[in-house]
Amino acid sequence: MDAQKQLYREEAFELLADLEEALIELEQQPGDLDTVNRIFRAMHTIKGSGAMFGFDDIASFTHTIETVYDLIREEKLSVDEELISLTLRSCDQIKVMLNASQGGEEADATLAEEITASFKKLISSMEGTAPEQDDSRPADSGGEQADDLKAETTYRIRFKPHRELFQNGTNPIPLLNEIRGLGHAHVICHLKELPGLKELDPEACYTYWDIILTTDKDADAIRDVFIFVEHISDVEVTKIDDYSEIDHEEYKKIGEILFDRGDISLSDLESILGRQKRIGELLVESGKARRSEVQSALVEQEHVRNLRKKRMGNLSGDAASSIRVASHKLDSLVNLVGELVTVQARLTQLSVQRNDTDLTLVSEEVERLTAELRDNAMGIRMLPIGTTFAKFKRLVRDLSTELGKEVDFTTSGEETELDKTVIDRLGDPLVHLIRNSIDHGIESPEKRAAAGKPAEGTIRLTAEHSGAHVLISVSDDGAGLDTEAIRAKAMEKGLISPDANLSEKEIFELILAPGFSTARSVSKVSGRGVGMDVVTSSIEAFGGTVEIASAKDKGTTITLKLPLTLAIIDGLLVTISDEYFVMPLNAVVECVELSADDRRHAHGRNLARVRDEIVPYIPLREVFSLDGDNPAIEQVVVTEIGERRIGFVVDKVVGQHQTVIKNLGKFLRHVDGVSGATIMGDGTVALILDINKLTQQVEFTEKSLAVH
Amino acid sequence: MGNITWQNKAGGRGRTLRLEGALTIETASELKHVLLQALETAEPLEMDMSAVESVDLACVQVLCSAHCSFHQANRKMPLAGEIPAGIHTALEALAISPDACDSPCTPECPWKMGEGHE
Repeated sequence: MDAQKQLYREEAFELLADLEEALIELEQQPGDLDTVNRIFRAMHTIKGSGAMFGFDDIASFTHTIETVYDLIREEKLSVDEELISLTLRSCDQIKVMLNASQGGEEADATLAEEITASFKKLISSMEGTAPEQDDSRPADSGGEQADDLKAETTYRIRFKPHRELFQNGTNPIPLLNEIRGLGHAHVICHLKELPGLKELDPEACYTYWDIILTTDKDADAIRDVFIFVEHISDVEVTKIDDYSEIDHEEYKKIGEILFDRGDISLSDLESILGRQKRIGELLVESGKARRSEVQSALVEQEHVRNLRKKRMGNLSGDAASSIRVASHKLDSLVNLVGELVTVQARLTQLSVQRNDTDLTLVSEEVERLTAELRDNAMGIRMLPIGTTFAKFKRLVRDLSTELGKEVDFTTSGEETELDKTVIDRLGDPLVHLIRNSIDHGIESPEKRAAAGKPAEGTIRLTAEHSGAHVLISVSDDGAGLDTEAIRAKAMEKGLISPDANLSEKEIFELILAPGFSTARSVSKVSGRGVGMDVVTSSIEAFGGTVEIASAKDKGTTITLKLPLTLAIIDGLLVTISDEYFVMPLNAVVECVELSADDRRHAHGRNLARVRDEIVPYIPLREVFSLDGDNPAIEQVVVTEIGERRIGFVVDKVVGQHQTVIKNLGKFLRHVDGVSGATIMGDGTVALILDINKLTQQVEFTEKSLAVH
Repeated sequence: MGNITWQNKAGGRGRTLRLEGALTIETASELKHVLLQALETAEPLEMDMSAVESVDLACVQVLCSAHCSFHQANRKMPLAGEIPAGIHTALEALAISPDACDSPCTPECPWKMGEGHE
């Protein structure tokens, strides 16, 4: 049951994300009935499944909201900003309730009541509509069933009034209509007990009904319909199908249904089954069953078969084409693939050492399969980034309203796929960037008008592939970065000396420095002393980079360059002394030799000439204080960081290496310049170099030396 | 309140039983009485229900039982005029349909929707 509850929570969170997106869309196009239906269905599923898995608070809270959206569907209520805000608040409340069920903070009951009361007020504002009646749906609303099938159960109801039914003034029509209102119903009337005219008591009831009802209500709700006639009628409610019956679309044979209902006996059934004709016809012909009974059983059979068919269709259409797997299972799959890659490297090494042709053949085959397996396993972890984008629409809406700014938020590249872990860690940095854009970037409508810009500002969130990276950028058409203000602030904070000669780009990069914030006042939205450095450090933590482009009065674009995956990368294996190191291959541009003569020509400066271009380099042996002498000819691995080229001097370049990234563990996590480690084919450990950090570290040291 | 009257047919060839208004349980006994009388005499029966506004289950039962009894007596119970919407609505709500009826008179059932009646 806990697993089911967890499944419900996950599904509910997804539905809520979709709901928020739909609500924002509805706000922009209030008349779009498709969107209203989408919202209604999401609420309906949250409610229905909630009740089923014991989330009664959520079910009852959602009930009123569902009613309101049903009224909107029927065009009895209209959509306005207030309704959207109220519904968005409800989504937040449901999230709190979901978290509370998992041990999170308890949901505020007063707030829930307040929201419910506001919705009820909307309902009661409608003339002549009793809110509770709106719960019902028309009997033949079969079209919408697909989404609701899983929360519904099918019942067979036999309603057999006693002869005296009419005596207390009971009219069966309202009862039958009420049952129809509970869901999707087929009603079959039986008149077989109706006598000839002479014997007929005109004031007695001879009619009874079989009803096949598919509903999200329980049997008690059905019995409640007959509560006032239960003493003058026989009511049997039997569950004949529910959502758990998904393994087959077949339903009982006609004979079984009739036997179930008590319309025929087992011996009747057995004697008939021996003959080669349709059972229904045979039963009628032999007088064992009446035509009406067979007809009624056929209706039941068709009703349930259709339902199961739809359910199967749903499964094969959506659920069967994708399955929900806990992310830790994927993590462990990727870990295992990582182990396999390591073992495979060892096998390759062995086969080379032994020079055994057979072993080499097997090793190569294993290598090929491992690479395929790796790509597949990594592919499974890939998710379209659009899932993250959706939630920002809500953020932009809320913030722009709060700050009195008009913002048009557009997104593109939602289909771009990224490793799930990267996506998970991307949320906070993006929230920060978008907040900054709204708070500092986009000007107030008045200022924009004065600058000749449209009152409504634009924020664009885009994602695109670029080699082994994904570029995500947040751009606005706001005021742009104020270089003078940044410069002044940087001097004030002691980040630069007053006479520092900085390019525009270098000035922009200052805002990424720790502790830097140009916000003139601490607002609720941003500028709480947590600057862009938080964004930078979290992006760099998983091997990404941050770039800024800005033009005064035109706007700012901040681009995040992220690795596709964090689990296995292609690396360049190098050695210094006897130590192995791995550099991310996607950053490597080329490798050049560095001789003792070259060093001499540079007059002690760490500069190499690469095809007439001067490239600064970092001697890693010195940085890591490794023992041993420099070989006569060293190698410079030239990398590209942003737009700059930096070389790293190593003893030897071994070659390309498929690198399974392992964390360094708690104690070594904060060692700068190293982002992880990998295990080599022979079991030795190679450190993975964080070239961004190494460069910053060296620059910082040089600057410090220059200042002192 | 329902109203049951006999009307002479044009040309003096028999009579038409004309039903009007709301046919409820209060009319059911009278309806049965009139129909039984017609069944027990050899007089041809033609019914006109076109002015019926509504009908309840008690009266539907009387009409169905009568139709069946006439059939058993090899008699017909032809309709003059259309079956009005009020009757169709009640039959639909009660789920009364010749498809689920066991009576041998089903092939001539007056409730067959959209089919002409003598």
